[in-house]
Amino acid sequence: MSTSTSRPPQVYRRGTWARITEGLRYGGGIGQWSWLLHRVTGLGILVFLIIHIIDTFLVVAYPELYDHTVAIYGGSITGLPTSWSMNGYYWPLRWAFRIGELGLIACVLFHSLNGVRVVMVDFWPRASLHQRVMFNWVLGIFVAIMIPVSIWVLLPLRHAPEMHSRVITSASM
Amino acid sequence: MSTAALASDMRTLKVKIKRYNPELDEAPHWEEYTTEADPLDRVLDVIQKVKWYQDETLALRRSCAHGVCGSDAMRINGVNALACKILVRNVKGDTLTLEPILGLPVIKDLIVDMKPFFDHYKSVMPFLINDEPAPTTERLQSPADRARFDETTKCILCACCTTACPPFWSDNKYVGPAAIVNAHRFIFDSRDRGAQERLDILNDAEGVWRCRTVFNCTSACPRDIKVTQAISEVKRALLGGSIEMDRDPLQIIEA
Repeated sequence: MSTSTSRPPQVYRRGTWARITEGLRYGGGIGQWSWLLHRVTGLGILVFLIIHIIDTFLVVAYPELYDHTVAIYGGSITGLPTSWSMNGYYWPLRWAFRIGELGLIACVLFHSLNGVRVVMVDFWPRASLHQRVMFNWVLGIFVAIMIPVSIWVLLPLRHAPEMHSRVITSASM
Repeated sequence: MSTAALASDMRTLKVKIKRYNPELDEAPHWEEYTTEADPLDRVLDVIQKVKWYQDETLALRRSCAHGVCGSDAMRINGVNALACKILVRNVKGDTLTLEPILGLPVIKDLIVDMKPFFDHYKSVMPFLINDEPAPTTERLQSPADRARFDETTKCILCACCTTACPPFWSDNKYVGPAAIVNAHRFIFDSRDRGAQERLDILNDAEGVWRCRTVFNCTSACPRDIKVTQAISEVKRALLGGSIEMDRDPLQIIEA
């Protein structure tokens, strides 16, 4: 048998990408998906903290810029064509930040509730027998809190904010 | 039962296997086979049918074929299991997907290099440590003391748990669930005197604290060992500073 096309045997070591894709295909149960969600929500909170540290830094360093940043969160921005806005108010901007805020609340809430579950499993061995029930509690409390909070956060989006023009003037001063 | 009745129970299975030829391939690829299988066949029987009648180059490990030696651990339809302990009738759908276990280098097809796994196993000193003079008879132990670590004596070192563990996939330095299970087996043995040494080894970022309580190990274990609970008991022993305080927080409050 010819061996001219063969090369010395080697082993196959999976790269990072292969480990991620093969890992995500693993048929794990609630534990695996709650772990993944815990990681993702943790990263979400980290991204918020970075943005938050930058914008509060502006309060001290460049107060005018801070007012302008807060105005952007509320849907007001200068420099865009006026034909896109209603009196300087850009609703997609405000919607994006409001929904982002709701996402942040969801991240913090899930991360803290599931964090309590993880701490219990870590430090109380018998809790691991009830991890599925505990995850159902996490989900139940999460949904029970998120329903009123979502309404409270999203309802103001029905109307353009009254105060945006005031924010604009203070920012332009 | 007549042969006709038997024949009607046969299922046609599409067998998808992740193949890797170390002499030719840069990376593994999928190959598909079609074979008839009895509902009471084991997945191992299906693989052997493929190997014996369709493609003799298919490589896998198996030895006892009865769930004792632990050599045919593989990923079956996405989940780690022993091919000799899964029946065809428990396979959902008409496709059987077989892959080598994740987290260890692939040598060929379904065979992985187990050396990193056994290195971690050896690192926790999985043997009796007791320098006291040996008694003339056995080292005796009460049934309650024996029951304390009964779960973790069942391990067959198949690597199903360790290679189901996401922290192990991303970090090969983590000792992994199987090593901790085998450390647990001696840490909580009343005849053993090496608990402190093993706890010192496991009290490390690459020891028990790498465990993220994902529970994939517990569901993958073909011996039904509650792996995550065993790891948790070692964590508790480390926190409490004693192997006696692992059972209930109430005991610690009272102490």
